[in-house]
Amino acid sequence: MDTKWKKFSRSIGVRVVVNMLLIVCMITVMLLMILNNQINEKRAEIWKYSEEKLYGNKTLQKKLKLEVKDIVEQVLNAELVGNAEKKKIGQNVDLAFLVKWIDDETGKCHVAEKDYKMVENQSQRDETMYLQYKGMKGANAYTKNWVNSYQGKEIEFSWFKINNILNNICQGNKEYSALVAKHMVEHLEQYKNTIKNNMLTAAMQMNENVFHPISDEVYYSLYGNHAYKETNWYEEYCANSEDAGSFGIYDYDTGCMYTCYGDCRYEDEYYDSSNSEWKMFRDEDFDVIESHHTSKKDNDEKNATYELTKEDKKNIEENIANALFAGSQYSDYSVEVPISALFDNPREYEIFIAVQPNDFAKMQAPYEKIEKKQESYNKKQYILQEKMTYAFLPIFLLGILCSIYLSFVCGRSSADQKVHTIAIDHWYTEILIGAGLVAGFFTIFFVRAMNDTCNTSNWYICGGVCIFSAYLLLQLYYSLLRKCKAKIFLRESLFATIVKWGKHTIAFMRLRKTFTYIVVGVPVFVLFSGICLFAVFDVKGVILGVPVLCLGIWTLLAIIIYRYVEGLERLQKGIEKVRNGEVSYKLSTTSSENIINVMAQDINDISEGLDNAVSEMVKSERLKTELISNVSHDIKTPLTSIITYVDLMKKEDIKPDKVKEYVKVLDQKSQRLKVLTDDLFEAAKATSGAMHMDITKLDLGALARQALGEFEDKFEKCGLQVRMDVPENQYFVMADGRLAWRILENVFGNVAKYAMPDSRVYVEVEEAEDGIIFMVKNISKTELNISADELLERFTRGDSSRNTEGSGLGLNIAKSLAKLQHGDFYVEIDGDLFKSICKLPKEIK
Amino acid sequence: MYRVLICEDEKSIADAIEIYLQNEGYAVSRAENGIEALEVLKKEEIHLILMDIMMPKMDGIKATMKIREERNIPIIILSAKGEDYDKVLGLNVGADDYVTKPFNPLELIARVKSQLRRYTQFGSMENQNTENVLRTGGMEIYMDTHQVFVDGEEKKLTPVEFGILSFLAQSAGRVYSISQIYEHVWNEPFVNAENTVSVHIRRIREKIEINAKEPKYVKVVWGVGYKVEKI
Repeated sequence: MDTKWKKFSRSIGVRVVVNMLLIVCMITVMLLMILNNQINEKRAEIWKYSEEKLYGNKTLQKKLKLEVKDIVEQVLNAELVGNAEKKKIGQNVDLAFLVKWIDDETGKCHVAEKDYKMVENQSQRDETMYLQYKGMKGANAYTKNWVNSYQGKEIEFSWFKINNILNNICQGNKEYSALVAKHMVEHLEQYKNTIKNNMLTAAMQMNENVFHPISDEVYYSLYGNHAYKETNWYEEYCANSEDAGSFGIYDYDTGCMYTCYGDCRYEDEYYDSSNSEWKMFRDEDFDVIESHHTSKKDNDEKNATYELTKEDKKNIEENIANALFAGSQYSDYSVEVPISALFDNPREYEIFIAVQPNDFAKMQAPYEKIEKKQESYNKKQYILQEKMTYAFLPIFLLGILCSIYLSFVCGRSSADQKVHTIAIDHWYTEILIGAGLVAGFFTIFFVRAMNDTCNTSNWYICGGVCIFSAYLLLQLYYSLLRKCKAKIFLRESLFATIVKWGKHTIAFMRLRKTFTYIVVGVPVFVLFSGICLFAVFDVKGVILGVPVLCLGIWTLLAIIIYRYVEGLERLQKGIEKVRNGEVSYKLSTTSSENIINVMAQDINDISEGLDNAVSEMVKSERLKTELISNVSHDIKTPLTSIITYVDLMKKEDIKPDKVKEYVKVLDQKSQRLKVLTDDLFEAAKATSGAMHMDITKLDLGALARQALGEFEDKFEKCGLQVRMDVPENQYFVMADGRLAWRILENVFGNVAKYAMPDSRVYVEVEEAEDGIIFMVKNISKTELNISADELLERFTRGDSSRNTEGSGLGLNIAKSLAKLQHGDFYVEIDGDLFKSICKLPKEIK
Repeated sequence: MYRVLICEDEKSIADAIEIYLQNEGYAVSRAENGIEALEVLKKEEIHLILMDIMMPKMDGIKATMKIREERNIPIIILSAKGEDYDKVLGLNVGADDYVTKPFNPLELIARVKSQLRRYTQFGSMENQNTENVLRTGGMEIYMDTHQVFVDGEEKKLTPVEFGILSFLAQSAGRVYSISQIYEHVWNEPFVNAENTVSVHIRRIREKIEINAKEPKYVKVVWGVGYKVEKI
């Protein structure tokens, strides 16, 4: 069951399915995330929508339109301050307005005629009070409390700042643009500075758009041709500025140059023509600049006031109207409706319009409706989001489970227990980890990008890349896991490779320690002393000299080392050749006293000595064999004569009979002499090793049977029964068949000669670690008062009488032959039990 | 009457061999080295040569090679050199047999007889019906009549021995393991049949070989099996 499950879980089909599931999970998770983000974004949109709609609301606009005309006219035509009576504030009107200004000198806030103590400090002066109800974010309004206290009357007004309203109404409304523009032109002198300041501010905020045609034309019209020469001031400026990224506006009225560096808003440089020098000042208020230049303007005779003709005025009016009308598109630097500029007073004015609660409610009704709609929509979205969260969790968990499962089965196969790796697994571990980190970074980066772009059409690209990199990350993780499983995580890493390489290098360095010290030490020393010199004396030449010196020393050392290494390699090759038996190989040497050369000569001497020794040995071996062969021949020839003539004598009818007996003895002894010489030479040959061998695979069972077959008649004669337990085709040894037979022949011959008649002989085989043991056990006929080791010596015999047949060389020959075949032969004596044991090497599989 | 040339530098040995050969009724010529032997061969009609190897002037191997260039008479090498290497060399240059010193006189005579039989009678044997006859060297096995002739002399074998011999001789040169021989001849599966096959083979050898210890036809491949030499 367990293995079945294992097999099933490791099968390719399941794996592919799980992989697909994982990808599906990832895609789903990504889609859910995007959807979630989209919903979030949509909710934010609702607020924006609401704000936009406020100014787009036709009912409110209509009312404001109607009243604004009056307000503007009144405000523009009359100095409201100090004429509070003129203000139309009543319960009967739909809209009320008030003017508020702050006296910079006293810091007091004036609201119409009534002194209103500023509670807020300067920074809060322009603070926008966001309407905290009815969803009218961004509509500049003040809260009821403030309104309630107005003139001590309990009137519930909602106050809107008219500047904003005007702005918003003017934007896209030509009628009001024209109206405002007309008034602005009429009070041009008052507007001038405001417009200029606005433009300059805008220019400095949005430097690259400052030359927008509309702004330019307004400016042009305001100052006329003589004052506006783009090329002039631009060139002048450029000629004197190092910073090409900045720009400036030159005011011909004042001779002031406004310069802006990049985004630095108030970091200004101006050309003071009185002193003919450039001045730089920071964080200065424009008022200061104005005053500075006003004084200058007074002194400047050339700067006559330019009278606007009717045509000029018309042009300006048009331009301003255009700017106001199109302002919404260029809101960053549009010409604001500068209400404060209407008054010939440096103080800043704010005009508020109050709307009665009833009207406000009426006006707001459509918004409430919209908002309700939005709320229900949001609620739906919330519910959807909630549902998505519920869906998200199990899918996410499923994905994690899939990846855990895959991490368990990766590298496994249903077929076997081995760990299977693919090509990518054999990349360096560090590369895989690095790739994983990159993939992880990409994943995170694109998840973020996906959040940002969820509303654009790019989200699916981001999502695709995100999923791809996440999947890649997973695959790299599995690859690393497989590496761990296959135990090649460290082995096939760059680190291990470097360590390995380093080890080699270190090993080489150790070869010549002095080299290492020189190679590393000298440059380090020179570098160090160079740094010291530089630090102490501040000698500039050291900076160049030290690296050059280091490089020089390095090059020199590299050449020396290269030569040595080359020589060493040559030596190594030579030694290898000699080691492989090519003793006559000579290394090329020169007469120089170079250490490598000396070594080469030494090696040549050694190999020469070796060569001599080897040929000497070969020669002596040959002589030995020849000696044995010759002596054998020289002994055998006379022996042949003896044997043949004894044989001839045997056939003769010799008298007296005594002589017949003598001949019989001669016959016996000559035969024995023959056996002795044969055995002796065989023993000599076996010991000297001068024997041809043909080592093959032998079946010990067959060999034992064949040998026993040869001795069958002899054993039968002695009444010896053989108990053999040697199966065929089971025990194979590597030996020479004829020599192995000679061993067995000697052993069985021994048995036939010395075993107790009518006893049993046991032949056994057993397998040892280093060979196969062949054992013959028999009971000795006579008492064995001799040690096993002695028995193996030449000419030793068990009966010690030396009367019986046999040379006493049999066991010794057997031992020598066994040794020749890389085996062993020995006997064991246990009382009368005699064991001959022969061990031969196992068959090589 | 056959004439045997004894080519031997050791006079005593040559004398002794001459006595044996004359006792058997052969005429004998003598030579003391290879050159003399070649001269004798030119003058007299010789039917068999007994050749020593270690001789002055021209040794036995060289003489054998010279003789073989022209003549086909049987040559038995008689040498004190008993190494396998020497035997192979002797037989390779064209000798028909190789006897090592010190030799058994009876064995030597037997070999001489056998070689002469082959040399003189072999031709007539070929005239007989050659169907179902296995021949290797001087051995002929008549499958129909279950007769075995070695150098023209009939050897009496038991049916089992004949079975083994004919089985081995059928594909002479090929080595058969004990079990293969047993299963073929006894026609029953081989289950540790002890040394039956080996014993039979030894008996065959004793019967058909001149020297059972140095067999010419039925050879033991130690540790593997047996074969009949293809000659």
